[in-house]
Amino acid sequence: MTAAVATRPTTHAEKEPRKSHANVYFGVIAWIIGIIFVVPVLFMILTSFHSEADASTNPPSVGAPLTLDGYREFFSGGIDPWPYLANSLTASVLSTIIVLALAIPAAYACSIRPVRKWTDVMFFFLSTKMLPPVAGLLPIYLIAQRINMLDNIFLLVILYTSMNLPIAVWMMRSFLAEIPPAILEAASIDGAGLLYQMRRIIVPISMPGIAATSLICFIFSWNELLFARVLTGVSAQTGPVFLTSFVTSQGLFLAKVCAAATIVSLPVLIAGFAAQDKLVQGLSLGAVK
Amino acid sequence: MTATDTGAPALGSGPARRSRRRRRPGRSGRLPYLLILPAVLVLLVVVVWPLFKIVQLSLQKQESGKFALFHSGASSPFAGLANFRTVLSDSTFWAVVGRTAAFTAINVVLSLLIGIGIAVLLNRVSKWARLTLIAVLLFVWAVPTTVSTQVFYWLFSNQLGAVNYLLDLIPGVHMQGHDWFADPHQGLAVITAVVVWGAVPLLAISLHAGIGQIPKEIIEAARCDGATPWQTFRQVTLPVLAPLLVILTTLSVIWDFGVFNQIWFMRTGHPEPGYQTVGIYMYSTGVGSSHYNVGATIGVLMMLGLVGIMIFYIRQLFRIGDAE
Repeated sequence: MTAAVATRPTTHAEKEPRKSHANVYFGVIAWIIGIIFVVPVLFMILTSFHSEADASTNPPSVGAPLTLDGYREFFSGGIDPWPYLANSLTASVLSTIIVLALAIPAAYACSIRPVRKWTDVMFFFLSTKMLPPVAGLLPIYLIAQRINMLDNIFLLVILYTSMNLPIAVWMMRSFLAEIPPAILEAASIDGAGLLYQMRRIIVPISMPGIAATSLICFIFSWNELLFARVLTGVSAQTGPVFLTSFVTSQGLFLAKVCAAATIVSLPVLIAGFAAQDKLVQGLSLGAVK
Repeated sequence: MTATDTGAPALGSGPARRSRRRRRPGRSGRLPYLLILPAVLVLLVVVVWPLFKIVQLSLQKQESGKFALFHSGASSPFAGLANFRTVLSDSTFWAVVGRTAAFTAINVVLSLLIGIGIAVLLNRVSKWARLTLIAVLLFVWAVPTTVSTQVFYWLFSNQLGAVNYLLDLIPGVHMQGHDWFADPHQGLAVITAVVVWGAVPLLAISLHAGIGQIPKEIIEAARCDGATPWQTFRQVTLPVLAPLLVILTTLSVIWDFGVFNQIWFMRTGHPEPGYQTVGIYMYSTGVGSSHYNVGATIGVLMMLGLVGIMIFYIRQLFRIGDAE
C-alpha cells in the first residue's frame, strides 16, 4: 500500500496518469482479496471431489486425484436427500411467486399511482424488517403449534413470503418509479385498463427489476435456516436443515459432507453467478439510478 | 429521469398531463388502496400476531414449568412486570448483553471497513479485475450460512484444519493441534470471521455502486487542486456516501445483533455460556428449556433495545428520500 502511494509522484510524467503503477498494485491487491474470499468455497468444492482418505490429511492434499465417490456416497447412502431439496425448492419458488404477486401491485400503489401517505406505508413495510427474526421464533413456534402448522412446508412459504415482501416492495418501487409516466398516460388515453397496462407495459419494462427481485427472494428463502430448523420436523425439512443434521451424523466423512454442502449451495451459486449484473443492481439498495 | 422525459412520445404531452391531473382525484381513489391491501394484510398477520403473542407471554406467569409447552398458554395468569424483574436482575443476562454489544460492534466495524476498502478498490482497478472480484463477492454472498459456518469450522478445526497448518509454517509459531474453540474469545473471533466474510459482499457491492454515482469530474477537480488520495476520499467520497453508509451501518447492527446460525452451528447446537449472545440466550431459555415466558421477556427487551436504532435508521432513510 505505502509503496503504491510512494511510487506515484515518480510516474507523474506518464502519458496516461490513470494507468499508473499504483493501479497495478491495486489490481494485485484486488486479486489477493478475491482469492481470500473465494478460498473457503473452493476448498469445499475441491474436497467434495477427493476421496475420504485424501480429504482427511494434514496438510490438506490439494493435488490429490479427483473422484465422484463423495457424491455417489451422498446420493446412494442411507438417507435420500431429494425430498429435502424438493422441499427447499417448493418453499423458495412458491414464496417468491407469492411475493411478486403481492409486491408488484403494492409497489405500483406506492409509485405510479401512489396512495396518500405512501411514505408511511413504505415505512411500515420496512419497519417489519427491523425485528430480529430470532425474537419472532418463539411466538411463531407457539402459534404454529396451536394452529397445527408445525412441520408443514406451507408455514415456511408464508413466513418466507412475509420476510421477503418488504425488500421486494422497496426494490420494485424503485424499478417502477423509473417507468416514464408518459407511456402509461398514453396507454390510458387509448383506453388500456390496469390489467392491460400491467401485462403489456409495466411488467415488460421492469422485467430486469422483477428478475433481480425474484432472484434475491429465491436466494434468501433457499438459505433460510433459523425458522426452517425449529418449525420443521420430518416431512417438511429443507435442504439446509437436512445438511446440518447430515453434518452431525456424518461429520467425520469430510468428502461426503463437502459433497452435500456443495449440492445444497448449488442452486443459489448458479443463480448468483448467472445473474450477476441484475443482483448488483438489486443489492445496491436503490443507490444506482 | 431527464433521459426518459426526452424519450417520451411526442404526441402532445400537454393534453395528456392535463387529463391526468383531471382524472387523478377521481380514479386513484380506491384502486391503489385495493392493490396495496393484500401485502399490508399479510404483513399485519405474520408480524403483528407474533408480536402481540410475545408481549402477552412476557406479561404472563409460567405455571407448569418444563411441561408448559403442552398447554396453549392462553389461560396463564397475568404476572405484570415480574418476568422483566427476573430477567433484569439476572447477572447472566447482563453478561450476555455486554457480550452481544461487543460482538456486534466488532463485526459491524470490521465488515464496514473491509466493505469500504473493497468498494474503493473496485473503482480503481481494471475492468477485468473488477468484474472478477464482483463475481467472487456474489458467489460468497449466495453461500448459505450453514455451509459457510461448516467450512470455517473445518478450516479452523484443531486436527485437520488448514489454518493451523498454515500458521504453524510461520517460524516461531506453534499452532499444531491448537483448539480455537476452547477459549470463547478465540471461538467468537472465528465466528466473527464467518460473519464478516458473509457480510462484506453486500456492503462492498452497494458501496461500490454508491461511489460510482460520484461524478468523475469532481474527483478529477479535487486531484487537480492537489488533494492527496486520502483527502479526496475524506472530503469528496465519504460525504457523498454518508447516507448510504448510515443505512448499511444500521442494517449491519440489526443483522449482527441477531446473529444466530453461525454461533449455533459453530458450537454444533450446544453453545457454551461463553458463546451466548442475546439471540442464543433467548432461544435456549425460551424454546430449548421451555421457559417461554422468560424467553419472551428477553425477546421483548431485545426488540426494545433495537427500537432506538430503528428510529435513527428510519429518520436517516427519509432524509435521503427527501434529498432525492
